[in-house]
Amino acid sequence: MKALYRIFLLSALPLMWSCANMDYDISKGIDNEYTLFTEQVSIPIADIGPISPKQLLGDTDLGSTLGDLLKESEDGFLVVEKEETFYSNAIFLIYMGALDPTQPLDLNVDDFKGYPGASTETPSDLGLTPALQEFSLFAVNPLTEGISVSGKVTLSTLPSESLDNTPVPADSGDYEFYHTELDGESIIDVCSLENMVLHLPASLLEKDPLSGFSSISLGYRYKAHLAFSNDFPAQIPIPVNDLDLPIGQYRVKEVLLSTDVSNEIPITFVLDSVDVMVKETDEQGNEKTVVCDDVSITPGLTIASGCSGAPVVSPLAISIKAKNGTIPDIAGFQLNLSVKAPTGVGDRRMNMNQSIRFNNIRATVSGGITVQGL
Amino acid sequence: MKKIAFLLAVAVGSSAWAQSIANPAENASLESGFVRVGEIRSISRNNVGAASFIFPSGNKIVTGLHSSISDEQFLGGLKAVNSLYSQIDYNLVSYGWKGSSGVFHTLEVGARVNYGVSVPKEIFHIMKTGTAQSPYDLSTLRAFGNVYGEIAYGCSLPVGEKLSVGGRVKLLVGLNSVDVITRRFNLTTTEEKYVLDLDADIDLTNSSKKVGTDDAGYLDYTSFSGKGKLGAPTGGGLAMDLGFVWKPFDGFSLSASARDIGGILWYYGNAGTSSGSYTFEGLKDLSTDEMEQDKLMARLNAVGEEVLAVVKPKAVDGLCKFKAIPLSADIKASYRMPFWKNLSIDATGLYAGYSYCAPYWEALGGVSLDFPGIANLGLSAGSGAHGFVYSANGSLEFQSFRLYAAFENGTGGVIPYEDIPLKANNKALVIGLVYLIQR
Repeated sequence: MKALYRIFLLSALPLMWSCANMDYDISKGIDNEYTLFTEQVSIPIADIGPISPKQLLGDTDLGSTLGDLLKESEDGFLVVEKEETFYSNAIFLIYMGALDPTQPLDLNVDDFKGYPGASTETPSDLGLTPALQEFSLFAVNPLTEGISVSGKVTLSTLPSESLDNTPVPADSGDYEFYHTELDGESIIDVCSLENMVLHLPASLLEKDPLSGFSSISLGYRYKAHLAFSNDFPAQIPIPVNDLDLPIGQYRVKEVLLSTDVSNEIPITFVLDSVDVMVKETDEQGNEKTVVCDDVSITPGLTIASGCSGAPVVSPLAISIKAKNGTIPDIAGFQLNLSVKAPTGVGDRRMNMNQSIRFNNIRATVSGGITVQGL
Repeated sequence: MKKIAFLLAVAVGSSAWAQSIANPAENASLESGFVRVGEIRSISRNNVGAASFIFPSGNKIVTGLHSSISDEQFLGGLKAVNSLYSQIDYNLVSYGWKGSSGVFHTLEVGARVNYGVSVPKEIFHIMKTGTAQSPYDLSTLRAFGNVYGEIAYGCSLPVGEKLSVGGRVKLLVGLNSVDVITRRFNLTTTEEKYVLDLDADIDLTNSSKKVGTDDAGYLDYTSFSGKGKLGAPTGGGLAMDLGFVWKPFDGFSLSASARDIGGILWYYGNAGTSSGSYTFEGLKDLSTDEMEQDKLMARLNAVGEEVLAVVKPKAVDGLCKFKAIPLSADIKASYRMPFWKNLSIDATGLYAGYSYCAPYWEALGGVSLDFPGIANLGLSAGSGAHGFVYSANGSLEFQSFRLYAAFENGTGGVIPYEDIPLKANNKALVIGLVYLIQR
């Protein structure tokens, strides 16, 4: 029986013969280098954001971060605030000084000159200017009867305003009897209060003798909402270190990173230049990070300014291209960013809740990605 | 020298006679019965060869994805649908006898294995060049494999002096089957998003063994329950072969047959469906807190889970599906030379088809030498769906034994030591031995 099977096999072998092409001898293996996507591949990556200054600062107190120069208002706006009391006197002392306490009393207040906007000088060094200024006068009246105030208020070079018996109700802890808002004006650097008179009722202490231990006060309060109006004074270098992106092994020639930036922040950002950093070992064997001249990145990218509730969308495309060969391992980036004045019309006030959002970040790789093994 | 002469004689002396896979009407001319044991036929068809995937480059062999191979070099050699189909038929035993009324009967028992895979060119296109030519229709992706047994009864009889007809009825016993069908597989890739739209079935029989499911109801191929019963049927079906031989005048014959008309109703106890759509638009709403490797990987893993939720087959109730078995049809004309009756000229045509795999056809012309009682040799060549094809067949008789073989191949060479064809190819081999019952 075995002999018969041998005959079968022998009869089959010559028939099964086929020409072996030694050019295709795979007995030594097949090269496992693969270059994929030689023309182009686009990959959606992510949507990042919204990112707001408040998120970036987290629990960090803004005042301490900015050296108490700026504050965040309850609704998130960046403000400079100042409050100063320019008159305060105990009622008991006023009563004692009155010639006839049974008669209404007009009490003259010394002229006062204050400097509410003086603290905005430093923010202006940062390119910030007041966008909306609020100035108010307040009074504290612990009496059981109302009082009134007369006088002249002058803010910087603006026309003076007169107060004529402006009432302050009884038992007012902090009553604002004068308020003005200025939009688009220069800083209120000086406030002058002249011929101020407090009109007090007769028999100050009869109805409430205990109020004699309290004081009548007058003061001003200033709040300036800040906005960017000028270019930031200098280019901001942003080093991105210790990335160690092992791109070199993939022999990529060109990557185009694209995104649509939706910006509510009233600042125009301009990426002036980007340097690609690579690691290099010198003759002594010391490793150092140097700028790679063989890779270019598209400079001059601009993220247009927006404002709260009306973000402006800027398409952004960053091309990372090897001038010769392929993109090497990247140790980091050196970004040079300029902050510019906002463009267009709209509310330019800075708010800590304003956000920037990077939508539809995608990468388009041209020329292939080479990998060893699949 | 004698050995060489003997081998040569064996090689060319095989015959295509009395095969279990042949035209059933041909048995009508037999004068006596036969017993056949262990006929084997193997068929391998690929409409694209290994040379479309691997390339000599310098002193190396590289794949079509190597940078030294151009897009045109690689993709130009591929078909829209790249198919590989293999089939092995084993005829365990056959017995044939001549009935009293001139009808020739056969009883045959055998088994078949077939498997195939079809891969759309777009998949290679994406890998080689990228995603610029979206959208992609990948719905021709398919893989299948079947094992089944055959118990066949055949009869053939002369109808008059010039015509013989024959047929076989086959009871098919399904043993195992796996079938991956993608009814819809669309991939759209733009800069903004990738959209995957999939509707696919994976049907798997595995006797009484049950594939487990995970908590979400997806098939878990690492978990089985029940005891597998090797060889237990998982399907049943019927098929038939039909044929005729017509000899209108002396020396000329025309025959034709259609074989394996039918199929099997499989019970797929381990069926699953992958269906759904997934859109990837990048990692959405990534916060600054998440810009850390661990958190990014967690987000990516979540994306992977969402994709798997579409791709992974979800278990469905066991179901029955009818699947056709590979169908083939042939036609043959033969004319015996009047000046030398041992010499004939032949013309044959063949068609074979199986569901989603690329169908195969060929047309051959050739000559054959027939020395009754001693040997038979046929050589032919022609063209097929995959290009030039040649074949040789023959038989050698020794006393009551007849050894027969047939071989068919294309050109283009093979990978050394591997015997894998470099070009699109149809390769078939038949070897059989029959014992003729002398009266």
